[in-house]
Amino acid sequence: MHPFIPFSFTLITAALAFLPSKKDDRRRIFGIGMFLSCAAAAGAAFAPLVTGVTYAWGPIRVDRFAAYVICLVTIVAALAALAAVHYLSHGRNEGTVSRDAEKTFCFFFPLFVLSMWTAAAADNLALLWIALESTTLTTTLLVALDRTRGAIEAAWKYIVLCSTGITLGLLGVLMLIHSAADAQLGSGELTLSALVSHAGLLSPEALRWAFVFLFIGVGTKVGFVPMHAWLPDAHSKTPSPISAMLSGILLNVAFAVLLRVRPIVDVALGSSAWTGRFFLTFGLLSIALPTLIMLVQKNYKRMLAYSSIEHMGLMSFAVSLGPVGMLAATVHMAGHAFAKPALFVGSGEMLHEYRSTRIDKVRDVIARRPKTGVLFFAALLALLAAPPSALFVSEFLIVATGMSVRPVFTIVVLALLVIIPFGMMRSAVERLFSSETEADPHAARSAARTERWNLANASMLAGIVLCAALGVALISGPGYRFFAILSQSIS
Amino acid sequence: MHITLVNMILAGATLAAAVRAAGAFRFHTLVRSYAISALSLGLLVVGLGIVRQRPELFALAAASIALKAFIIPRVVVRAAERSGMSMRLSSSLRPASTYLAILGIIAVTGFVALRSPFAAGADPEYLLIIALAMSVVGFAMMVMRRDLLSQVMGFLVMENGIAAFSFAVVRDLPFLVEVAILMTLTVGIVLMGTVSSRVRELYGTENTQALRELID
Repeated sequence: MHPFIPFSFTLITAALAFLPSKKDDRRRIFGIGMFLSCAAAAGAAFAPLVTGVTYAWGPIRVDRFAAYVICLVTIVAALAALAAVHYLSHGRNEGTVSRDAEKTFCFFFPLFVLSMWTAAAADNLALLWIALESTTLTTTLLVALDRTRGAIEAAWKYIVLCSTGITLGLLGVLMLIHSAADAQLGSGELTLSALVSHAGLLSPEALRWAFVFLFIGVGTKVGFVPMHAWLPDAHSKTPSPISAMLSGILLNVAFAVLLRVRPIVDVALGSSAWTGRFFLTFGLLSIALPTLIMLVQKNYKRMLAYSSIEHMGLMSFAVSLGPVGMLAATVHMAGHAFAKPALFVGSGEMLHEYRSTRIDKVRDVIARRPKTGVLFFAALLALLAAPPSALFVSEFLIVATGMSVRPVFTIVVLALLVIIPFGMMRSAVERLFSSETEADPHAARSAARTERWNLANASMLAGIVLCAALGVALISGPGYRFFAILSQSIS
Repeated sequence: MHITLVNMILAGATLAAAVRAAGAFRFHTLVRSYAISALSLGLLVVGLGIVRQRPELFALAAASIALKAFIIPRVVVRAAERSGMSMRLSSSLRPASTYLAILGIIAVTGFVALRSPFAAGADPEYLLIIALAMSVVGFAMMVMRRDLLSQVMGFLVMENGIAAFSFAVVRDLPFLVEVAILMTLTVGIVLMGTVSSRVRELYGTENTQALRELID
């Protein structure tokens, strides 16, 4: 299927947000539009993902890895859109989401998805940069949607830090273009695929500079420590369906850009050791700092945001371990993309019930919101790599490979991985199972009876099932072979 | 006067005005200095268009001058006057220390730029130094300044530096690509302006030190 079809569906869905509509129509149009867009995108990515055939349309090139990232974006967008319809409907009924806010949401959400698809599929360097910057531009007003002091502060930090980072990334892109011009490649060759195939002709020194700027610039978007300052604020203050997208997939899209640039430098330098050191250093920093912060964190949405930084760190560490590490990183991408949105959507439900993101203000979730509570607990287990979660497979591979490639660093990572479940489980158990001291137990029971199965629960369940199904597929064999081929296609 | 000499003077003016903007503690001086820097850069692009015989650069220069030297400064001044913000800007450094730091930054950046792999291919070479120096000066402004407007201006100075870098080292960047990048950055600046005005509305100040709601 031509990518023009999902792209145009998404643009139409965004434009329809401005149609004058009755009470529920805008949400229905948004839901149907996103369903059609996601179905069309899945159709466009299916053949390259399964058969390995590469499609190229102008500056767009969908190979197996691009198709994989597009599929992840599509799945997370579909899960988030489900939760978004519930969020908007609830918000409109209770007066917490205004008509203008709903319009802003329904306009920018599809554009955000479109910019991520474009970033995943862009082969042209300029288009790639524009798509990455567009992911920031389309989400800034979504971060600020609540118009509270916290939300506006988060939006300010988000746009300033991410735009600065991506602008530094533009310097890196220009340096890549310069080295291509130096090697007498024509302006039609300013693509990632052309640079990989001509990498041997490019100046290694210029490529080193380009990689440093790209790593810092795009790494800001990934949320690597120490460029992560925007991430906990933006992810915790945004409406939960957007947090799910920011955390579940946007970080992966930016990470995938680094993975696609890396082979150019590796081929020119004749080794992956130099770029590997970047992934190792930033990976370790991004695992260590969030782990320590998570132990003392008092805000459950910020805790999830720090967990996202830690997972990006883990993927970065995995990439520095060689081919098996790369396999683990590609599996981890999917596992994190399926489990984390469920947790953010669940947190949104808790926020709605308790009107607070403070851990000590949320108690007895299992009694008051049993469906949300059980799903949240299951998603947390999946995120903490309990089998059969796909993250169990990826983390097992990381530790097993790391012990033979970088044993000292792997022991450090392993120690940190032991601490993380302690911090996250303590917070979750307090919220889910600690009984309320002041509240009336009858009120809790009656609240539990009134909790209906809703679209947010469906979105959470789908994420958990996908994460577990992927884990089973990997353990049973065929999934492992598929991911081995997929990870080889990156380099 | 020979065109290459004019270009050299314009490049110097671009950097000098950016340095003045970085050291300005009055709102109008900051915006005026930025506008002069953007105007000089736009005229420099015209000069490069003549030297390189690329007439399409004239259109890009015209768009860039209109946007950065006139429209953005005018919009910023209007928004600031309407909001009644303080015309005195704040920084973590005093004016003399700011200039000293900026001069140090320029010296180090120039030294590094000349030893970079891009020095040999840069045309003209001095533009590479000026481009990287402006990028770093803009970045330093964003770090040192404590008010929303100066941080946005720092971003604009950095963006001008990167535009200058593209003219120095990438000779044949397709025109459409240059325009697309310019437009994307413009949307970013508009959004920064929108969010900063909401910050002012909610916090009643433009001092970024007040943004402490979300600290762990």
